Amino acid sequence: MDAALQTREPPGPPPIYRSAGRRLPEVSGVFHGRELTRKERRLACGIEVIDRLLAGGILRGRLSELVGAVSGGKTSLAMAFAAQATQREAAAWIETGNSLDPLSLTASGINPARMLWVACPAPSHGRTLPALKVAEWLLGVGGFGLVVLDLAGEQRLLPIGVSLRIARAAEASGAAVMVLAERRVCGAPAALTLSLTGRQARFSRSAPQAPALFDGIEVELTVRHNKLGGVGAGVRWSAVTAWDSRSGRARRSAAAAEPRPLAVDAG
Amino acid sequence: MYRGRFIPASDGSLPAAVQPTELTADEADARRAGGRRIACVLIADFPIAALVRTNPEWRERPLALTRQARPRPARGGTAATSSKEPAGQWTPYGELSHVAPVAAAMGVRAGMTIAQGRALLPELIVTHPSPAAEEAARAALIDVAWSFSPVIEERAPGCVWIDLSGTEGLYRQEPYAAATALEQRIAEAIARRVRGIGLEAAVGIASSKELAYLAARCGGLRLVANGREREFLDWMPLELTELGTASGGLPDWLKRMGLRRLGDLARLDPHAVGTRMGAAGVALARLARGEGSALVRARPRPEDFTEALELEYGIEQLEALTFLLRAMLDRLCARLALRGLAVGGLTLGLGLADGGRDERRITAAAPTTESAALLTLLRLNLEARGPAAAVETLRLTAEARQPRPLVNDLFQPPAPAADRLGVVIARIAALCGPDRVGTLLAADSYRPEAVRVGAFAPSAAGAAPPQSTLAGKTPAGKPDVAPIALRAVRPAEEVEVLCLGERPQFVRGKRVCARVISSAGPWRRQGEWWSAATGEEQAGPVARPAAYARDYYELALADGGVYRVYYDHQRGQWFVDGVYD
Repeated sequence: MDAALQTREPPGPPPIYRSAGRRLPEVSGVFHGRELTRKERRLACGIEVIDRLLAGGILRGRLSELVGAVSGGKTSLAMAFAAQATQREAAAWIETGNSLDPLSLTASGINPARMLWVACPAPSHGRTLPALKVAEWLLGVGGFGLVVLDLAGEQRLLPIGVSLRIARAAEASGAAVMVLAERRVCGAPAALTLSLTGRQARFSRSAPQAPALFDGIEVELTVRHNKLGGVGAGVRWSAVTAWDSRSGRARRSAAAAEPRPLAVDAG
Repeated sequence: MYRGRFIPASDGSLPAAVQPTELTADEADARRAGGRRIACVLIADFPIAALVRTNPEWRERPLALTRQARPRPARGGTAATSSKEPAGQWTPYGELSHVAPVAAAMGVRAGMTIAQGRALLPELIVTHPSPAAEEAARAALIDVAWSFSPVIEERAPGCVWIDLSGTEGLYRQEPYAAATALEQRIAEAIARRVRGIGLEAAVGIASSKELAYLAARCGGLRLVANGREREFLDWMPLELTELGTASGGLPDWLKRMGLRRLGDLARLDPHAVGTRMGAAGVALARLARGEGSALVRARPRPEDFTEALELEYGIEQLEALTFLLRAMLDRLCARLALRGLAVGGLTLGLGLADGGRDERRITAAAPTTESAALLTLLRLNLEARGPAAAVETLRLTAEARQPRPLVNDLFQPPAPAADRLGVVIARIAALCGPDRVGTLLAADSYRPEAVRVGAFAPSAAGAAPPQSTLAGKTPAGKPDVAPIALRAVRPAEEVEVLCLGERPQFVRGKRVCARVISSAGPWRRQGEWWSAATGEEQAGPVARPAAYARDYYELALADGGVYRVYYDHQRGQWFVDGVYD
């Protein structure tokens, strides 16, 4: 897989995203006197390798999917996008269960005051997911930079009409809509599908007799579907543990997270 | 105030030494007025106008009011709307107190009995005056007056004086506009705004309050220019001069004397009129000469934005109730918009058929004047908890707030529209539950699963918290890391863990069943033993151990997942409470 990853060079970000003042065009929609097109208005996640792979981030006003199995890193990546969005904008996190962890939100750098959380009930048999209805309502309000639709337990493909309605609502509101699921559920209306696979769970010891520590998961990200091209490209990145504020136990920071011999292949 | 003592001289003139050194109150008013212009806004047949305002379908119908006690509707008689005449039987000898213009045109007059009125006009609608509707219409009229000037005085319900001093500039479109054209524009604006709150007003503008009232009584828009008061008053019948105590029974007496118009009275010697008719006669004579009080006495009054409705029938259907609430909200929002205010919250009071009261309060996410958004909030509230019995009276009170400024930061992205967001959050709360929407925060507790939900207010959010050292691009050549997230399992799911020594080897549960590949832990967490000592947890219906002592593990399983698992020492069981993702 490594070789396959290296065979495709990810396209570089457009010039405006290489500039120091990247924030201004994102907000104003104008750069060097030129109005940015939809393709140029993107939401970055702050993980440099992924932003470079996606030419600046996921598209605003479009539907993107993050798919992967349990411990694949999709929640961590979605939170990274949300952290960037809530620096200046409002975001919404709609989930079908009740699994969002507030400590993970703050550890990811998300401003909780700008994050609207909705935990939707399970749908009754044969009915549309309430989460989709909620997403459509919130997109109708407008003003959200990112709407995360966490359908982690959803296995079925959504009805095409529903996906289309969400995609159109996203386009009208200009918000980036991100769907988290175990497999592709949006079908053709999704502009981008990123597949995430947990390759390695990293454990380490600070000394031979010291207790083992969980350091994080190494994740492989592949562009499964992209309407703007670049399908098949991929990168590896790491979702690492940070500071566990509740227990008061200091965990190793990223800078110090050197892999130790205890690395275990979890795939 | 010093006033000289009045000593009549033998020749009837006043000696110079005892001339009044200061003016009377009315004279001082007139002197201070000095070119002041007063507008009088008058609602004809105010009790009927107020009733028609709350029941617009009666606007072109023959309507009459009676003071007779309200008849009870027939048993089981409930209706969806109050658009029809009440079904109760009025006694035929009941007297009509007010008659709408449509009925008056057919010959029905106030003072007739109901039987006489119905004999003339079989389709005559007879109903009872509504004090609640009159109070709401009165407050709405004052709101309209306030939107023109803060100096207003209420003469009676349905009649308000407005001091127009200083407001001309707001309506002057060209620098040297004629005063008459300017006042015409103001009068038209007043009539238009009164129409906006559901009433029809006559407007008179003159140099004194009494003159403005007389001008308004002529109907339509009538201006009396300065210096032309006598021209206006000369033809005025004395019957129109019902100016409170100043009139008394005087017009009838004057009519017997052969005086029929104010002009006749103005031509008489004022001293002679005062000698023969007393103070009331002097006041009437002064009015006939075009003199009057120009001082509008503004009084502070409580700001009460209430609309009320009394129904003849009990309403049981939500749709019918919503229909009425929509009209009430439209009127409330129009009133608040006149004052430059918005609705911050609503209090809905329902009078029920079983004699009970149902009061509910709805808070808007942000001040708004969009009645549709507020109606949605009300409807959702009523859908969530309907009234216990049929509704007979409605009382809707708005909490006035300063509207949210719409000017956003040039360099900030637009935030969600607060009013629309409030409606959507209310909808979501109705769909998912009120504790499942908002801002998710960690609760003030040592328990890892403790969370709380706060209100979502993105506009009030301050600067973003300091970025995690891991969030975003990290220094030292680490551009490919991000903080890991935990997906909580709520409530924690019981699992079976097979251990070798103290090391977990296999996990088996409802959603997970796999061999342990690697593990970290245990990490001991315990707390809240102090609340167990007080025994407060045992008071509930289900005894829950307050204190907790858990050993946490992070387990990488063969199915590819990394789970957070703990052993509960209190229960002696294993639980999975999260999965790293």
